[in-house]
Amino acid sequence: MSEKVITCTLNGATLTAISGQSVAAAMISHGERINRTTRIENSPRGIFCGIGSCFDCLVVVDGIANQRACITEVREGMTIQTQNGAGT
Amino acid sequence: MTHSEVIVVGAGPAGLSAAINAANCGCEVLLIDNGNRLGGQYWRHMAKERDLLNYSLHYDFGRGVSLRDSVLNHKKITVKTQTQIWSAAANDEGVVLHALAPGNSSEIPREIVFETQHLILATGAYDRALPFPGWDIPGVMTPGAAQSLLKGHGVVAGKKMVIAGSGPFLLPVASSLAEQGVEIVGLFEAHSPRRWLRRVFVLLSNLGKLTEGIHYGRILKRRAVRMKFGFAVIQAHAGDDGILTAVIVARIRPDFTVVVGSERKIECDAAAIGWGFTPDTSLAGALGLPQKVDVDGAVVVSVDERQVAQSNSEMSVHAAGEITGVGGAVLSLHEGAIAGLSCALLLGKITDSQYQNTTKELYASRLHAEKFARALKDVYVIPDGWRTWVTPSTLICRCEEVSCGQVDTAVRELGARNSRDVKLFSRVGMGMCQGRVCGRNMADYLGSDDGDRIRNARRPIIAPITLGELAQDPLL
Repeated sequence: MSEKVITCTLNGATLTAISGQSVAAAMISHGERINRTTRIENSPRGIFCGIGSCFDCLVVVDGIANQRACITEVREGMTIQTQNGAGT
Repeated sequence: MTHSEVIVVGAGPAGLSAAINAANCGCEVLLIDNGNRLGGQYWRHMAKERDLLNYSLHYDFGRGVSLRDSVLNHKKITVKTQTQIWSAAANDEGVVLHALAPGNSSEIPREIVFETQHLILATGAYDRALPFPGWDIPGVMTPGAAQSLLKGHGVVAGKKMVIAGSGPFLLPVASSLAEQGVEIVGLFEAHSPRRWLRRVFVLLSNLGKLTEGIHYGRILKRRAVRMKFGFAVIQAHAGDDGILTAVIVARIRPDFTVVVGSERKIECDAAAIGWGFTPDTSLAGALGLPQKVDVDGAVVVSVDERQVAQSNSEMSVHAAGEITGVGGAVLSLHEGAIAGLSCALLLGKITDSQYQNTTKELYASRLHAEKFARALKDVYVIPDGWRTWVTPSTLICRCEEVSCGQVDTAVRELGARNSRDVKLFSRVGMGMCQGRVCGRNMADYLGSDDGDRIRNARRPIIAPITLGELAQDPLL
């Protein structure tokens, strides 16, 4: 499996990444630090534990909310949205 | 339902070592991991094409590569990555594991059910984070997060970073980020290096560890990064956009209380802060395995000298690596090997005398590594003085956004006496992470006894599952 450039969208804008990279890594390398806002205080959250334990870096992937950006791999044509609250 | 002679959960050092040792004795092994590659957090790496970078980012990647490749090429081992176990049950006849794995074509994960009579748990550990005002600001993360972004994805977490907390893990994180051109504007270890003085013998009898430490020290010196001892990050500040702009660092005493007046502000765009590791015993807890509280306050799985946590004439559950007590990769490799050989013995693949001959040296190496692990826990102990860093509005449970003040109310006004009471009154620990981040801090905050810590760590569900995923027919 050789590496290739993947094109997805983040909140509608084009986001390029390398195959095998996580959504969180692709977002950080494009300077996007906020993954979601919280349900109660509406405060911003980003990547925290980085290994799938803390559930803080949640984003909406292809319309499905609560996906952990740190362990979700980018795929060609993937649509990623930062999540507001519960994401529904 | 798929049946395997031996199932190993977790493909880090302990799991890889368990799988290869069991398979070499002739056992059919299924190795399951929720990540996309073998190696766990310790040997987290990128695709083969980037091996040049992989080697430069690890101290001992060669050992990980040879173990990974021998597992991948072994005819007796089947590997299932990206497979997240969400629930598990054990009875007298064996163990059933329910997992979510990517479906064949659909993007929605599908359920797979695995069954075995001999399970080896090697689920590892994650960074421990302590609460402080601003620890939820984007840009504040654990050292493990910064390390996984770099080692797993080739991305640096920031341009100008502060690295802080306690424990030897801060060294590889700081040196690999410095090597990648990140400006390290502060590297702070909370404890004094003088704590090693009483344990010089342990250090000298582990020359490999000492050499590794010197290796990182050289890199940091070349990059002009100096580690300062006796300091901690006690606050973080955000700009108008809500993102980290600075941290407040203060001198702290050995009990972690702040020396008032020593605070100073350091501007940075990312901060990696960690306080050692917490074993991930969620699967062990769901299976009802015997657990105990380790000297560092972590809930761990209780095992005998063969790494067996539970067994009868029909089945066994072994545990190896960090979940039996944090001790690092070397100890994990020994424990994994012993667990793998013990399964082979129980399955009749090797004789009792073969087991004893092979494990004699392993037992001795394990004991040696355990002594070093114990010294690390004594040197890098986390006293509860961090409780003075928080304010009533500081979150203790990040998922459910429960503040320390709400916990205080639950205790003082509602009469909560333990973690469970506080959880019912305030929702602390009820969120998606299942108490992984807040559980241990909550226990320290309340001054919980061992029983409370163990009860609160037992959760029936290991990872969230949607009703949609649950409603589908299992893939296998």
